[in-house]
Amino acid sequence: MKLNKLYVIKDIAGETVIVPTGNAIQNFNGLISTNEVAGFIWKHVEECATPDDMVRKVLDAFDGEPDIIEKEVLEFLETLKKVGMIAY
Amino acid sequence: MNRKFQIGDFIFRLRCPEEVMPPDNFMLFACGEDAGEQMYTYDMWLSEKLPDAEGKLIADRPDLKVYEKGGRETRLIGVKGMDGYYACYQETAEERARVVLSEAEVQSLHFDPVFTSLFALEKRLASRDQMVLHCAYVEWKGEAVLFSAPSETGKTTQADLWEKYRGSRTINGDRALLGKRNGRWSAQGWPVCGTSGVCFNETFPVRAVVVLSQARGNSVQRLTPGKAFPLLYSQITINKWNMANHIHMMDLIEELLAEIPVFLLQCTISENAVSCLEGALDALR
Repeated sequence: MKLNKLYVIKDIAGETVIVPTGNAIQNFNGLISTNEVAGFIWKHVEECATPDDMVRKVLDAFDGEPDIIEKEVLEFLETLKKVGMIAY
Repeated sequence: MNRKFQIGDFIFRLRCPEEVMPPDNFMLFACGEDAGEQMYTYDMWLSEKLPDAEGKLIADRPDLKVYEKGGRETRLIGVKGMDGYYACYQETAEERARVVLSEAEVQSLHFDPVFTSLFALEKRLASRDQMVLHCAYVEWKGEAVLFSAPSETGKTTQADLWEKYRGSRTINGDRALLGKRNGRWSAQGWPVCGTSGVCFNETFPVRAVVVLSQARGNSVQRLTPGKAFPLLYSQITINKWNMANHIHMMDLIEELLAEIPVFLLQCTISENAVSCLEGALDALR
């Protein structure tokens, strides 16, 4: 999976925000405050070949009900893909 | 006119025809010939017709078009809600720009934002690690307290309450230029002050930024840098069409947040709101 490099991630004292830059601001002029899991996903997108790889990575890193984690990770990745923030 | 000006750390020369009268607030930033090394020159003149812009269109807003060619910008500058453009700003050399003004619009140049927009100041200042915050800039006990919030939230109202109950003084009712002076973040004057009409060219070290939110009661909390970042990011002028500049400004905000406390003040229009914040500011000492 690939990140759209026009979206920049910033870690500020434990909080993670994703900020569109350049032409990406035509679609979205603001920033996205993420929770810990969303920030984790964003940081590891390029290490994962497929959404299933990401599900495994999140399951290894966080506690929770596996079925719920899988569903939410796949939905989140699909949303990022739809708005052009990642590609796979 | 052929004069030097200094805004923040940026010293520049403006050469313009006599018909062009900078607004009074802009003239507060005029300086003597011995003020320091001139960093930039703006040549301004009037024309019936604005020149055609060349280059790649990199920003397209109703009141501003920005073109880029060979690392230099050309801007067609207009006013929100009005058709057409009143000026064309063109960077012609590393440290020089020419600004062509529409003869038909010369009268509107006495409005602070209309005139100040001619200089791409936010770009010049960003490269000198300075940024413009949308805030009421208040001096209290020799330090700057900056009330920041979207328009119509009550920045001027809180600034007025502080003036009434604590003897503070508003330096600028709508904007402050933030940058480091002698290693400490300071608020400096800015030639645009919104409808407040309050505009002084004075510098004070920053005590705190206070983000305002209207509420039915008064409470104050200190925000972590992570929570404060989105709030300040939305109130700081950033040229988002220039990616390098954009990222630099975000780094600068992060640097500010590492050193300057930011409070969220949920408040009413009352002396209690002042007392509530005063307690938090005093606790910083």
